[in-house]
Amino acid sequence: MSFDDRLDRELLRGVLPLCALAVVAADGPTYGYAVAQSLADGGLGTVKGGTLYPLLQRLEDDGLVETTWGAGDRGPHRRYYAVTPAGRETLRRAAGRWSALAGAASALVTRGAGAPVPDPGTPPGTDPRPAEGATS
Amino acid sequence: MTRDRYALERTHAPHVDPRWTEALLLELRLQGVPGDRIGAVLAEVDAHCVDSGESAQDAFGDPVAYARALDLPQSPAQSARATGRVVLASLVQVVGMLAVVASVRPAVDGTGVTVPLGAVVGLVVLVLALALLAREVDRVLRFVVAHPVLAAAAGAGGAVVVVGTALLVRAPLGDVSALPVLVVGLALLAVGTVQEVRELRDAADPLVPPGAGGSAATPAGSRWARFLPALLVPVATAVLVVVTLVTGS
Repeated sequence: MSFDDRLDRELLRGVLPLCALAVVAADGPTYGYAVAQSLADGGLGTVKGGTLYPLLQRLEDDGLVETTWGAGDRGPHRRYYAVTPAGRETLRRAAGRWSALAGAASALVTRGAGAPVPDPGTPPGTDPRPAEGATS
Repeated sequence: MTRDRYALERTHAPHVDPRWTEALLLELRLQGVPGDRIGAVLAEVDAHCVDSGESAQDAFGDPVAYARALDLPQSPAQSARATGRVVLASLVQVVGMLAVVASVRPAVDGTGVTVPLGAVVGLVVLVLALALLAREVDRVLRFVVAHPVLAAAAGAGGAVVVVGTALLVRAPLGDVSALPVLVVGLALLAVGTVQEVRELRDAADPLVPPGAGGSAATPAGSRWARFLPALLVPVATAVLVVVTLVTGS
């Protein structure tokens, strides 16, 4: 697997539990397929059932969401997920940590992506930026 | 015969390939997940497939991997420990049966029971084998599911060894008086049967669809049928005792 594919997968895996909890908090009570659609509409791409339901199960085990059963509009029974007070509190606290992390990561990545290409002659570890007052 | 093979799968997940459902169901049962939670998993998979229009294989991938990813809790009645207790209860019953059948005629005649060495060795081997099986019941079940022919051959081979030892090594170990053997045998039979009936009563764990309120009525037929394994040994003992008393005189 290439670096790009691996990165995309791991980034998604990292943010998915938080995003799923956020979707349930915003849309709930809601059911699994609707959560997947909201995640896709939000720009996270397709999240398969095989990934989503174990994750929702984990949220339920942790007491962050609770479930009820109701008849769907057409046919089968659906499990509806709703955020619990504990889930809302967890989400509120996580939102702050997420902003801090995303901001820090963005700053690092932006700094790295915008850095000048170092001179091949420069020994590793030395500052590639021209020293104050030096002439190039 | 194959007409009803997937009846359960079609009932609980009518929009899912029954072979996929069967594999999921088997893995969840092997994990000892309670029946109501299995029913909920199947209903949710079914609803997702209806909503998304995807096959279960496309949406959920490998059914065994999906069952493991859910990481659902085990029902106490389905645990390996509980299954082991059923095996041990059966073992107590069988030992009781052997003691009763061997001692009833001598007890009536007022003679002693001759204990053959082979029978004792065979019994000890059987006890050890079943104790091991009871301890490793989870791995044994998975092996049986994965390699049914090999498992059947191993079981048959083990039975031949035990029975062969009992039949061939006939040197007497000694004589004991018949009445105590009969009394102990009857007691073991009673204890084993009561214990097994209790375990089987707790182990009934039907697949329940969501919304059934957790109190789905068990059909009267299956309510009785599930105690049959516990009654098999006492009934066999009674038949053997009657045969022994009628023919042995």
